[in-house]
Amino acid sequence: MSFIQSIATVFRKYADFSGRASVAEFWWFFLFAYVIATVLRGIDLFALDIEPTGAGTGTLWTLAILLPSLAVSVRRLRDGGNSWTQLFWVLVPVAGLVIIILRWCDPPRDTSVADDLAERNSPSSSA
Amino acid sequence: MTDTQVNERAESPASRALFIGGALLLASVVATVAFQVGFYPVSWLGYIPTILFSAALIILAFGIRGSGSVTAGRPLGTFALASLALWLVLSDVFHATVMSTLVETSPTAVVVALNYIDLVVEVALAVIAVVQIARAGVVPVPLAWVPTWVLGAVTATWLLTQLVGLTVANVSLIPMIVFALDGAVRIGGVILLGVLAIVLGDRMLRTPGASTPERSPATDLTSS
Repeated sequence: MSFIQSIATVFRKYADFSGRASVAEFWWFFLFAYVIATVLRGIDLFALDIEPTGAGTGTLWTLAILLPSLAVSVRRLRDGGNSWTQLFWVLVPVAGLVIIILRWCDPPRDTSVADDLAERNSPSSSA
Repeated sequence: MTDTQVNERAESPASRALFIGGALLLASVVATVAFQVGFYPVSWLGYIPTILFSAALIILAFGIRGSGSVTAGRPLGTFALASLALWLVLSDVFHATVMSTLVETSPTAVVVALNYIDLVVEVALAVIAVVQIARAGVVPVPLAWVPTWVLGAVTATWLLTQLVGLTVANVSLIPMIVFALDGAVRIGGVILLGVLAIVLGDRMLRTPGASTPERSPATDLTSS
């Protein structure tokens, strides 16, 4: 899944907590969200003169992507064979974040997903 | 595809090396941010970000069970990446122990010279490593050049901070922007590399036969 496809998929499944999300889908969206957030925080700080702790465009962005971020996180955990309750690791400072990062990196566990991917990648399907 | 095949792929050392390497890079960012906001109650915990970053470099250099090295196991690139990892840890320890004494007892010129030697060695090792990663053929083009771009961006913003520090009054907005840009590039660069490693690991896992690094003809010529 490409960078653009990943972002489009995450926004299409805005509040869809069912199903699965691939490693690429999750991490490309994570990168996209980080880049936009950084740019908006910069605009807030230097152009709009809003303190980093204040509410600006960065905060609006965070709110806008809160639901799709949660949704894709849950779908990624499920794809890696983990329960959505693993998401609560984010509440543990530093160590919890490291653990959840490792969980989000887990390869897909479900055979049917892997089958589907293999079929899509096979030469006969692309012909 | 059978269950066995899926399990075999999930156990692929090459993709696992990239997953762990990428995750460690991202973990180093988390640890760095926690350190910057003063989260650590004990000073020695300040080594954690560097240790995580260096561990990522070691895994990406050597791979797991000889598979998944981003330098395709070539001696020069692997040596540069491993040496950089070691140097970063030693540099941190040196700064925390010897340098803190030197600052009080030695002339400023000595301290500045030592800092620049440290920096030059780090940059030299990093340049060799990123060029070798780009030429090894493990990471597909154009992603293979991303580490080089990141190193270029980090170096450029660092140079800007040095220039701005010397030439522009501190009350100006420009130094603030440059220093913020430098911080964003450093953090963002590591995040970018971490995400790329993870995505590449996923790609290796999903593409049959991709877990075996292929060398490009150009790099084979240069390595022979």
